[in-house]
Amino acid sequence: MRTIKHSCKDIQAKIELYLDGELDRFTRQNVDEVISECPFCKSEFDNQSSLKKILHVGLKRRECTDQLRKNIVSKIRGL
Amino acid sequence: MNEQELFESELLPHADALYNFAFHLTYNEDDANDLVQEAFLKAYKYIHNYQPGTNAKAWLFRILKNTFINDYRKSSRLPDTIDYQELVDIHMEDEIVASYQNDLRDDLFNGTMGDEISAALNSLPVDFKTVILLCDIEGFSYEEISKILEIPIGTVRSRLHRARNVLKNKLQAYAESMGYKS
Repeated sequence: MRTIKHSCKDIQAKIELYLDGELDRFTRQNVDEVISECPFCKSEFDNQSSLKKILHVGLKRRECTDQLRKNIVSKIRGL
Repeated sequence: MNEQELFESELLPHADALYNFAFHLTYNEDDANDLVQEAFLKAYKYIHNYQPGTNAKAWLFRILKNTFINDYRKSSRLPDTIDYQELVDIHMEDEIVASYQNDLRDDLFNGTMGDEISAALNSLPVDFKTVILLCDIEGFSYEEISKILEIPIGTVRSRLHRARNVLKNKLQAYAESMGYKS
């Protein structure tokens, strides 16, 4: 098994950017390669990924009521 | 297409996302209704500044954010908010978490905040909460968030990082109970 030389600190600083879709393809591939081999970076990746997932999936979304939508449209049409 | 048609076809479809943002900023249905209505009326007033086919959602979020800051936060309906920078500078993040534990339990007991995630999110200073809502809930890019909040991208990044550190600690038990790795 080959070992990729890396600094865990550097990779871990990139994980949030990775998960937020803010990394270029090359850097993303580099993070992918490292987390497939380094348990520390993988663990940090999993933690960050879980948090993002929990927030995105778990937070109850609130929706605009039909009444509010109607009120807005009637105000606009009345202007 | 006249302005009214443009409004109804390009701006109004974002009402749900805008309401969700407003609700989580205020945690009050009536206030969220007022905020959304006001933001849409302002958007219509300035619709000549909007370029059809461009990022309507980000534009509306910026209007709502400004409405919230300029009108809503100044009103007496909200308790004084704590300045996030002051909070972070004075306390270590762990201390922030500890100080909110009781609040979180009380809120859950009273059922005033809804679910655990809402409670954790709502306990964050408003500037932290805002970046989480825009990034993790709405999926805006750092560049879009930077434009919506009118702050540098580096500030978006550091606020997200700090907010997530606080949330990570708060939601650890919840994550484990949901079967996520801690």
